Amino acid sequence: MAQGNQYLRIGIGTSTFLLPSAASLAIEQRETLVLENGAGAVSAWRDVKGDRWPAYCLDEQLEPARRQDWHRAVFVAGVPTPLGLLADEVQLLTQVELHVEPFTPVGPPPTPAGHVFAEAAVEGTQATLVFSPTGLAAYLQRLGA
Amino acid sequence: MARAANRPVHSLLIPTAGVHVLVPSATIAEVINVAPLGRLPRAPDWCLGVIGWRQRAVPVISLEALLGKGVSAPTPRSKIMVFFPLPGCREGQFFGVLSTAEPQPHTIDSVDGIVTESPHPRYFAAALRVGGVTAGIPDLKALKATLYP
Repeated sequence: MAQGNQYLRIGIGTSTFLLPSAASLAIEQRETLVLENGAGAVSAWRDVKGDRWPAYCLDEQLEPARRQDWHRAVFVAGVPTPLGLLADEVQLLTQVELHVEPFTPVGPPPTPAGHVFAEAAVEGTQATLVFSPTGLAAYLQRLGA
Repeated sequence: MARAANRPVHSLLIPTAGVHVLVPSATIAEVINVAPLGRLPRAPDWCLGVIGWRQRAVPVISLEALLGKGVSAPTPRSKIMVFFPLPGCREGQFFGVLSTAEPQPHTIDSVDGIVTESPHPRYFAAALRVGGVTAGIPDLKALKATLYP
């Protein structure tokens, strides 16, 4: 059972982001997903009891991308179904290993639900951004099918 | 008003590529060396990235890019001015501005050098001749509206 003070470290290309692990509904390996080769925004699907959860492949700037080097999908709550983010690697971290502070990105939020990031883990002069689960879900939702 | 205008204001003249900025020293939390900036995805072009400072994540912006002059890369002489949160911002909303060199301290004790025409009216409330250059005085309310709408 995921604890509220744990984070998933999500590697996308050369970037690393964090997600509160409590926000993760499921982490799936590539082999368990149905790959989507169409021209749409969805790169893979998770079949769940007759339902399909879309998963999106993004680059380091969180732009939709057609990368092949992802290995897992992390799903967060969304409407009408959970939404997945494809990642090169996923690792569970405890908050003991991190110093996490609230963080507000500058500029207008990219979604009506707000910014994609809500916190940051800081070590020295390096900051690792922490996804806002609602902001991330809203952002993925906007990518469509 | 006249008394307020005559009170000396300790200020910093911040050189950036293409524009000089004059701010009260009290608005600056620290001047730091430029460290590698982390990416801030989905940020506007004028946001150069994010840096860790005093265990906070601080977005670093390019004023010249904000003014539509394009983005300049940091040089070995560049510094980052870490600003205290702007009026109306939440606690902890520090932000950094990239400069091309160390800021220069100036004490402003008169408004004689005020230039009536601001170089960039959207973000500068006024301009002042100081240290041989014309420096813009930021409109902090306008800056806040852009950075944290």
